[in-house]
Amino acid sequence: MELWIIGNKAGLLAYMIAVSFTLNSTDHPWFTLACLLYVCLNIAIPIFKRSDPKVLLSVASAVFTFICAYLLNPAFILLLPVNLYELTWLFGGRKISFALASLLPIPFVSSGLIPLYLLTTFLSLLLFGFGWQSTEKLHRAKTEQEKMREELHKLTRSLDDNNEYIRQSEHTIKLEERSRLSQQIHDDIGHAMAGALIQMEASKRLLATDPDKAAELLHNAISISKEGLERIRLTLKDLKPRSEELGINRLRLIADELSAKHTVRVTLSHEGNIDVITPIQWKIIQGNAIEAITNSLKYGKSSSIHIEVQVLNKFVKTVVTDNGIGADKVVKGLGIIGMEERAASVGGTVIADGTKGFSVTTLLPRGV
Amino acid sequence: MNILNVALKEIKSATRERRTLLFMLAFPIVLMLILGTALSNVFSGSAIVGEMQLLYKITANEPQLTQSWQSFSQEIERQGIKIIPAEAGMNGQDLVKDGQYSAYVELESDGMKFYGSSKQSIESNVLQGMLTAFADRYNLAASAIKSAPSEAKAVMESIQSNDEFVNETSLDPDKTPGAMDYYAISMTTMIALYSALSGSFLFRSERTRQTAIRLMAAPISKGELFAGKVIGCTIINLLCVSIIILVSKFAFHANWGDHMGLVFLILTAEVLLAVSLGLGVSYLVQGEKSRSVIMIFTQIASFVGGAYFPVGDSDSIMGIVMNLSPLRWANEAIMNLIYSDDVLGAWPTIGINVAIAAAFLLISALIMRKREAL
Amino acid sequence: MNVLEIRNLTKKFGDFIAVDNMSLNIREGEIFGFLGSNGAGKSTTINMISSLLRSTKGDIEVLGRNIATNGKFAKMNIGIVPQDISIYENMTSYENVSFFAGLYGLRGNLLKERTEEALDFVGLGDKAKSFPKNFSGGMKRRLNIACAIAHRPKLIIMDEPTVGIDPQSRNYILNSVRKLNEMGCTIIYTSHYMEEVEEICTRIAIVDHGKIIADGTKEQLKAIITDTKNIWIEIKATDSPSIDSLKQIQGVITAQLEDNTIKINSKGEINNLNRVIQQLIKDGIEIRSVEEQAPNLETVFLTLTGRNLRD
Repeated sequence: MELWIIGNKAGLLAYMIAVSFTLNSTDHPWFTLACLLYVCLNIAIPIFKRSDPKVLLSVASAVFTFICAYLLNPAFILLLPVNLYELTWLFGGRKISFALASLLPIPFVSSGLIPLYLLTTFLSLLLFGFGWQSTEKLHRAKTEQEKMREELHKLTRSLDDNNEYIRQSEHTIKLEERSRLSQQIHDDIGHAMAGALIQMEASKRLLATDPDKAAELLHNAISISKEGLERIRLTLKDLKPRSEELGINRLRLIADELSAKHTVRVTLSHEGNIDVITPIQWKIIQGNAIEAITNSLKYGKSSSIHIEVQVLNKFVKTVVTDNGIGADKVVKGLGIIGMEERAASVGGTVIADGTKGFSVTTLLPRGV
Repeated sequence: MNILNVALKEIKSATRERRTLLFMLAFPIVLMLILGTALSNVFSGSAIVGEMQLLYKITANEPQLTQSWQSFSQEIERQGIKIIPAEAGMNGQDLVKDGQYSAYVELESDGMKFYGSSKQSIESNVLQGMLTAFADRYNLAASAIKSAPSEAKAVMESIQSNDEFVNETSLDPDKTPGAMDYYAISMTTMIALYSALSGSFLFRSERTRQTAIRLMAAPISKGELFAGKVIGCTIINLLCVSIIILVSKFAFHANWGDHMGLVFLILTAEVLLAVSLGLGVSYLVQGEKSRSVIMIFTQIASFVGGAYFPVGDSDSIMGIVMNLSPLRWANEAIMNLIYSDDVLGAWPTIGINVAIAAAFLLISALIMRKREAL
Repeated sequence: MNVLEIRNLTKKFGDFIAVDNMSLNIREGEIFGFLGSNGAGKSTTINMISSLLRSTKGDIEVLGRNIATNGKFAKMNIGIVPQDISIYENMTSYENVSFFAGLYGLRGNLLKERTEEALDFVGLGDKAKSFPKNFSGGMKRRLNIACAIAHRPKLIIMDEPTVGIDPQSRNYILNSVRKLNEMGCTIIYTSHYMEEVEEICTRIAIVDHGKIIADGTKEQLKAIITDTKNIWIEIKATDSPSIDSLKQIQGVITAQLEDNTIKINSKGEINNLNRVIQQLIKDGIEIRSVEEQAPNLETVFLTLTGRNLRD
């Protein structure tokens, strides 16, 4: 932008000098001095980083050109608007003030110069307008880029965190399961097997001497083994957690916890056969519900939140509604995008609607 | 091919707009008729000269002068001018100011002092001319007497004998525009400028009628649509202009000169300018506002451009404003073409019109390209 | 063959996402219905298909060619019936149709032929020389359609073509849509009127907040909610029907008597109401009223989005 301004000024100055020379070749030393001074003043402007000296210099230059226009050569007035634009720009003026700045000096322009003045002013205005717009655009793009980079960073970090968490929890779960399994095997099956083994051992010894007793012992061993086998089956069956335990109860737990922690009332209802909801689906439903409730608490200014899980013929629908202010236009933030991604992993969709309070509907297809 | 299609449709639908068409045709013709007849004497070549009364006073004490004056006054009295000597105590200047006399002259030894009436400007001008002639000849005679007294007599006689104190050299009366001629031109150029209105409607009407949707969905490029519309609109407006020219030429006998082709070319350029201007404004200014902007512009341009009354040259700000009106450019170019045969002068006007038109068309085309819809 | 293929189509207006990553295929010969409330993104999608709007992201292919690179090809094969009546009031019906058809490259006798054909098709053959400003709403709507079909497009997009017209005109238009479909046109149809969509569309997509929530035939959509229906039969209080024999009827899942109403829950796809009634009559039961409760598209929409279609 500053280069453009310098270019603008240089062009105008050159033009003014050329015109002054061709029109009245009375080579005035004062004129040359004034031009040089103008150059000095204006070259100094971009050197400063802070805006105060810039403004000072620009004002000085404007006053200087004005005086020169009066005392030396009226053509100096042509240089004035650029300084005025520059000032408006430095003060962060609006578009209209640019136009005003260009019109301000008109009463002081000698009548012969008016068309020329208008032309140069207009051209400079165009240049400034363009430059200004481009700078703004660049600035906006930069901020946006910055924001996006930040978001990206945040996302990557949360992804890393999640991955780490998943890895760890998998590990813990494995360990826990292994110890539970070994404990149970040791406690139940181990004892049974040992008992059966002893009885079978005894029956082997008695086989020749007391076949009746041996048969009895063997019978015992068989029944103990049977029992053990049944235990094994039971144990293994027990290992598989009941999905409902994770599902609706977990969700209820979340609701209760939030109700207790915050001033909102969180209620939960369900409809249809919730047994058909797979653990993965429950996980998604929980994740989205927590996210939606967090959003409601953060932005919604609501006093009550309702979670509804409904099992339809082909879909599982979860709706989290609040009675808050909602939003006329839903602007997708990270939260909603996250929910969408979660749902999309099993082929589902998320609808966020802000017309009556705020509601987030997660639709997951069944049988996936 | 599609361009032609769009242009034809544009012309067809314009001819259906009876009211607009009627306005474009009847408005200038009626105005032409009213202004052309009502203001005819403002433009008329002959002015009625009233009774001329010259009050004079001789303060110089020169018999030669008095004698010459007497013969001069006899001479001009014969032409119907009343010469009245000022009585003592009369203030000639005041009397002229009051309008009792056309002019007052004081003959002094070192010259004549002339006071003309501003109320009877034509009369006082005539008198001033006569007196200037008299003074010249008297000076000639006076110097002749000093240098060659023998010839002075002949000179003196010539003063007395020649009654042609005023030589009439008039411009060719056919070479100045009468009221009807003037208004025929100015109304035609004005209505040409009104094409800006239809230009501003070109795309706005498509938007309001929702037909823009269909046009956008059709396999026709925005460029073709744009060109077709501009061409169609220019043609239909040019048609209006031609009708007005023909009506004024044959019904009102307005003088359109010998360069009809070039006149038509100037008007074509002006219509093109107006259409592009309207189009450009309809893109630059949103919605209903563009209509008002065009309305105000055409009204002001018509007014300062001399559509309703002729405007003179002026160097003031007003002059600059006047010269900004496209109407004035066209009017001047056509006037010069008709009355001064200034063929070359027409081209810059055509050029500037076409250049501005091109600029506006370019702006509109750019905005249109950028927009998603029409 | 896919007449229309949309992949990951997105349209943003500033921050607002009007169409959100939409993907969709429309096959030849379908009458495809877009169902959604105002501002759901139907019109935006349609406008992008007909090149009125540029997409922010994603691809649209018409007859296998991308409209971004083959815009003219797509336009030649699409006919659009805009939601707002889009005709010139100061030109006759004939001139209207002829002008728009002319934009598609039709000339001379062919143009004349097709224009007359289109006008006849919508039943305005005798109004060719009349000006639309004297037309009724229904006639304008029909002319609106004629302007879109004269160039014989493969894909016709109709955006609410029946808004604000009398039932007779509506029936005419619905029949025209079917006829066009029989003639080989693929049709995209949007409407507020659930019944219309249910009546003529072979496939329906439910659109909300710029996303397609579900799509399929109307039966498939209804099956999303439930695949059963309820039949409630009110009988004379003193009668005692044999519930067991009702349970034997094909498709019936449960049947029970509450007060004087038999409540039957049955598989949705089996039409067994006749047999239930026959059975009751055979048993000498006096029937007071019969009510069948099956979900319609309105309930499907309401259940999936939580809102009414006309909100």
